[in-house]
Amino acid sequence: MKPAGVIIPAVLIVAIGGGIGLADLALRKDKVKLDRPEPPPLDLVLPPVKPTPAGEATNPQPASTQASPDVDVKTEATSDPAAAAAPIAESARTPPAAPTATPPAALPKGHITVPQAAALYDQQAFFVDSRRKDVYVAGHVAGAFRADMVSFKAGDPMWVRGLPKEMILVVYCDGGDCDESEHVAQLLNASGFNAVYVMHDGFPGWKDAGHPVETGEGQE
Amino acid sequence: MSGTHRTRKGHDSQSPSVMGWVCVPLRLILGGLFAFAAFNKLIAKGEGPATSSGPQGFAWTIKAFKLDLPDWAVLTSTFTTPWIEIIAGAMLILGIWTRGAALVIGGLLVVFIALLLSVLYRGLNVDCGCFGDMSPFCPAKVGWCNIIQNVGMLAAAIAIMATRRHALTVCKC
Repeated sequence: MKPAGVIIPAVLIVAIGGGIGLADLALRKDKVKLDRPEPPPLDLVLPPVKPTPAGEATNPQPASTQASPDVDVKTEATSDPAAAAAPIAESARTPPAAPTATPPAALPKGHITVPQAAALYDQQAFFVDSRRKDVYVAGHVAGAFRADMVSFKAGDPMWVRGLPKEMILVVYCDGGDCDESEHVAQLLNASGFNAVYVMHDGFPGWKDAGHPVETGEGQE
Repeated sequence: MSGTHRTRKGHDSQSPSVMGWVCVPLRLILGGLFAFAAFNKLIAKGEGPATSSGPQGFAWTIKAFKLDLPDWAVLTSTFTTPWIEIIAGAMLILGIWTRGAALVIGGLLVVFIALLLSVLYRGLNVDCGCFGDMSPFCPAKVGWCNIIQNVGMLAAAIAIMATRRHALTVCKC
């Protein structure tokens, strides 16, 4: 077979497939929205937290036991998450954990700083790692479970279903431009959890601040 | 055998070569994978912002690659790519324009590999969307596994393209 005997059929296949595709596009294009729906602003209730000395996040109980219903999460309602978040930064008396740490005032709604996340960690908050599995295995917040958007495709992951809805959840990814944590937080919000926060500076900020980390498969 | 002539070794010039038989499983696997991938891109299996299946999910996957494509290009790719995949995959399985179908699939794989490399280079944490919501061989997020998977399929496509006399074909075209 000459080269033309391969190329001409290939061109015909592309033409036929492309033609059918364009016809399909004409029929169904109204059903396709190009922009993935942005998660609505997280309407969060930030509970008051106990003062925590700098760099002494302990979270003595492993995350796997945090779903216990007798854990007192003390969810006192406040209508302004930003206002509620501010005392945490003051009471924690924690200097900026790293030169790149984001100041609380610059955070989007629903996001918290690493010191705030550390304070919640000490209150047995449930940490959720929304990064890829290989990155999670290489290092994650000690006791954190892993769940990315894919984990929610077949419904809530099993461990999510077992958590009390009043549980405080802190979701993180890699900080910076990473928006996976925002999406996972939104999915958790949709699952009925009200106290879901995004640790703005992600795992790099947590690790740089010297808070507990662990490696390995963990739980998901 | 009428209508064919014999070579100096005594084989019919139209009879399948050894490679033609070797390529049969390659054609079935590669064609099947492309048809399966296309099906998942054309038929929605999930809803909501997490889905990668159906035209909606595939369009979001293309957008997530941040290629700065105009909307018309995203929409056109969303609908034409799976149809080209499904037709080329079916022809590969049936043995109609076998080498042409392998050339189309090889060309698509070269484009996919280039896109995946660009995603890895830019450090984007996005779904591959290669098989819609399914991820039979690799984690859903783009990684080196996807590149290796596609390079393997590209090698199969090249082998099929390089084979002149295929076995078990609907036509000798």
